[in-house]
Amino acid sequence: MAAPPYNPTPFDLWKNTIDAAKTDPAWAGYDAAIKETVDTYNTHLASAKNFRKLNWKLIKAMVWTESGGPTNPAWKSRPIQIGNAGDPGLAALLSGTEGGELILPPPLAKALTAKTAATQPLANIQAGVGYLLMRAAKYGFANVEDPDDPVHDYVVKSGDSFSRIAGQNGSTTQELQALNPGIQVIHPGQHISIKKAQIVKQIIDFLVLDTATVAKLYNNHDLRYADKLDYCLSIIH
Amino acid sequence: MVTRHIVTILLMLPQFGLAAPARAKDQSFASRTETGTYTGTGRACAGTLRITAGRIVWNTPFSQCATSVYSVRDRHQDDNAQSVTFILKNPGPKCRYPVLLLAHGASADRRVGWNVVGFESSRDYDPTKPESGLSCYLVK
Repeated sequence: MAAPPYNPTPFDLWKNTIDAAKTDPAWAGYDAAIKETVDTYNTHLASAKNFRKLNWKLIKAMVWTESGGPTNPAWKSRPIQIGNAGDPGLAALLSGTEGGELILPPPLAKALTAKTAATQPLANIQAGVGYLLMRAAKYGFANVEDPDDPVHDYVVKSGDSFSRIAGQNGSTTQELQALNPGIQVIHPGQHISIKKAQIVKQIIDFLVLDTATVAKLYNNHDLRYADKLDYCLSIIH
Repeated sequence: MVTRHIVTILLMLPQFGLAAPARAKDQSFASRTETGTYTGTGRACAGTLRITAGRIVWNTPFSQCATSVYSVRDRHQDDNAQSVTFILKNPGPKCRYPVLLLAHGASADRRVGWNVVGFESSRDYDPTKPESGLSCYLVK
């Protein structure tokens, strides 16, 4: 009796690609760069709320999944495939307004540009990791006191409000309310406490980066993306 | 009636050792080894590239090239590799990459080892600089 015909799915063929190449030393070509990149982010974000250290093997699995390996042109230019024309991800990371400004370690924030990230493989990996973390973070705004500025006494003038006093003295309404509890209305001649402060964007939470979450955050079109990452992780040692 | 006779004659030509107009041998069209459905992977390349003897459609997350007729600009083949460059004629406004360089490496398995590079225009097309376009690994 003849064996049934082999009709592999695209996912099966993709796994065949990985299997055929996993012993090729070139597939480890970015290991050192990935480890260094992940270490840099892990150090920078260590104190961020609920941040858990990123596993470098997860990024390696992403590079394998995205590029198809060293025989393909993407491996040499955009191994994690961020920065292609029409992809808004890189611009969002570098915009300075969508969270990248908090995620990127200062040396990377200085070095990464749209051009380097789209043309240099190491910069592409650095940007891809940054984008993933930017999407994994949740942001909020908090009142932060200036630690170098002592509490001052301020005499209320005609026409003042907490908002106006804060604006003219480098402080915030929240700070003045916190320093002067119970004061609802101010009047000329009244003494209140003021201190410099500002409203600062902060990371308030981080999603756990399992493969399903990475698939959702980094890629939302490849329905087998998480399966591909899981498969790579199962054979990466 | 006349049409039916012409079709009959064309179908019978091979039986008489005469070559019918065969698209697969015409350098203006995809060869049999190139036609088929390819699947891409990942953030920028997930989707399908479908090539027939007369049409190409290529959909990826950031570029959607609608079904289009095409021409073949270049074709190379040796023992280890083959490549062909297609130019899409009317792929629609959402298509960022109307110039496609499809290549297959040395893999004996014709279902794996494909790569397509999409270029934004004929002016941008440079087969020696795939980094100037979108490069996608494909399985077939």
